[in-house]
Amino acid sequence: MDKRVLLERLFAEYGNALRGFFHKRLRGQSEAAELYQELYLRMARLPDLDAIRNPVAYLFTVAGNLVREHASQERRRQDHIDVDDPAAQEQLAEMVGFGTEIDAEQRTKRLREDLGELRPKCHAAVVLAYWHDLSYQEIALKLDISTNMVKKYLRQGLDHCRRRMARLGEG
Amino acid sequence: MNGSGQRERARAAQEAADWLIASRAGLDDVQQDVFNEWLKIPENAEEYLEAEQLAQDLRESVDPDLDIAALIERARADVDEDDDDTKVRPIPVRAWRTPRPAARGSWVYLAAAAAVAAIILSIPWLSPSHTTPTPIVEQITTTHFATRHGEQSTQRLADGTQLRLDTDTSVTVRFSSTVRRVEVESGQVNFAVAHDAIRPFRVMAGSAEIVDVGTTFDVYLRPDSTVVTVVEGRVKVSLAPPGRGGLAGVLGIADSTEVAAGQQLRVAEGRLPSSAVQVDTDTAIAWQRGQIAFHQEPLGDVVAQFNRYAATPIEIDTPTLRELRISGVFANNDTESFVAFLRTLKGVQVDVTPTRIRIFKG
Repeated sequence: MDKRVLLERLFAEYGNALRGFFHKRLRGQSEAAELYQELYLRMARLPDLDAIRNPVAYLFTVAGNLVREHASQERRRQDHIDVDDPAAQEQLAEMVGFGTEIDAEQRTKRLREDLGELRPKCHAAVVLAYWHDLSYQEIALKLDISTNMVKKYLRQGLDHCRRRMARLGEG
Repeated sequence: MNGSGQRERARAAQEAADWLIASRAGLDDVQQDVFNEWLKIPENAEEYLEAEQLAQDLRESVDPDLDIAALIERARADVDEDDDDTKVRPIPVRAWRTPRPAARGSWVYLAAAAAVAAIILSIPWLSPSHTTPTPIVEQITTTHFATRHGEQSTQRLADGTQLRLDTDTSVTVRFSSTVRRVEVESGQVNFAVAHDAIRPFRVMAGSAEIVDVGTTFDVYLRPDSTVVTVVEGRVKVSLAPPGRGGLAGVLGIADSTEVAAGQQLRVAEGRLPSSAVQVDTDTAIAWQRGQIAFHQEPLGDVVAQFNRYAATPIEIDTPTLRELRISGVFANNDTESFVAFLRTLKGVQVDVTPTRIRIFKG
C-alpha cells in the first residue's frame, strides 16, 4: 500500500478534529501546531502503517498519548526551572503551558471530589474499571450486577465528571 | 455557543462515552467501521479524545487510601432504583456479544447482516442535527456468492477485483467507501485484487485474516486449516480475530506473517506460522484452469481433490494405497481419465459402479 496516500487520507478525514483537540487542550498556543506536526511525523515514521488493522484507532491513541506526554514534559520542565535564572524567567513568561500545569493538579483534586459524589455502585464501577483495570465481567461479579449495568454506571460516572469539569472550565 | 450547539455537544459527549466504554471491551469489525465514520465529525472526535483523557485523569485521581473492599460492600448494599437493565441507553451499534470464534457459519453472517441493519437504522441518530439527513455512515453493500458441488464461477466486484470460486464455495463480500472485506465461509477462492491504497482488501477465512492491496492470491478453507497461496505480489496474514477484547484488539496491532509470490502459508486453528514456504503455485491454482494437478502426492489427497468435483464418489478400500505417491494433471470433471490412469498403475484395481468408484489393491 502507498503509505503516503493512506496518511494523507487519514489526516484529511480526521486532521481538523485532532487539530481542534490540540488547540483546546493546549490553549491554542503554537505548541498545538507542533504537537500536530509531531503526530504526523510519528504516523509517517511507522514502518508498517498498512499492517495496522485499524489505523484510525491507532491515530487517536497516538494523539491522546502525545497530549499526556506533553503534559508530563511540562511538569518535568517546571520542576527544573531555577526562577532566579534570567533565561528561565523569560521562558516562564512565554510558557502558556504553565496554566495547563496548574489545571492538571486542580483537575486531579476536583475529579477526586467528583468521584466521591457518585453513588457507591457508580463510584465502585469507575474505580474498578479505571484504577484496578478489571474487565466488565469481573466488575459485574464483584458488584453483583449485569455487565450492561456496569457499562451504564461507567457512563453515568463519565457524564457526571465531564459535566463538573466543563463547569470548572467556564468558571 | 447557542442552545442547539450545546445540545449537539452534549450528545457528542454522551456518544463519546458510549464508544469509549464499548471499545474497552473490543469492537467487532462492523462496530469499528461505524466508529471510524462517527469519528470523522470533528465534534465527535474532540469529545472522544476528551473522554479518553478524562478516563486517564480518573485513573490518576483515585484516592490511594480508598478502601475498595468497603466501597464494594457499600455498593452491594446500596439499592439503586435505576438498577434496571431495561433502561440502558441504546448504543450506536448493538451487541456486546461477539460471535463465538468456533461458530463461523451462516448465523455469523446473519448476525453481521443484522448489525449492518442496525447501522442504517442509527444514521439519523448519528447525523449532525443542523443538516438534512445525509448518510454519514455509508451503507455497507453486502453481496453473497456461492457455487454448488462441481461448479465453478467467476465474479467481478465493483472495484474491479475478480473472484474465482471453486466448487462448494461460499463467500460474503462487504464493500463501503472505506472497507473492502470478504469472508470465505467455505471452499476455495482466487482473488485478483484491484489496487486501492485507501481501502485495503481484507479476507477472513477460518482462523486466518489476509490483508492485501493489489495482488493475486488463493485462499483454500479446509476443514482443519486455511491455506493461502500468493501468485503475484505479497499479502499479510494474521490470526482472526486477533485478541478481541481490550484495547489491543481495537488497535489491531496483531502479529502477521508476510507471504510473497510463489509462497504458501497454512494456518491451522489458532496458530500462525512465522514464515511461508515455497510452492509450485501453478499446481496450487490449477483448479482455475479446471484442472487437478499433483506432483508426488499421496493418492488419498488426490482422491479427496477429485471428490470435491466428482458426481460419483471415489473410495479407497485398501488403506495402504492412500500413501501411494502419484503425479499427473487431469481435468477436474474427467474422472474417467483419472480412473484409466489409476488402472495403469501396478497393483491397483478400480471397480466402477453407477453409484461409486472403488480403488483397491489387486
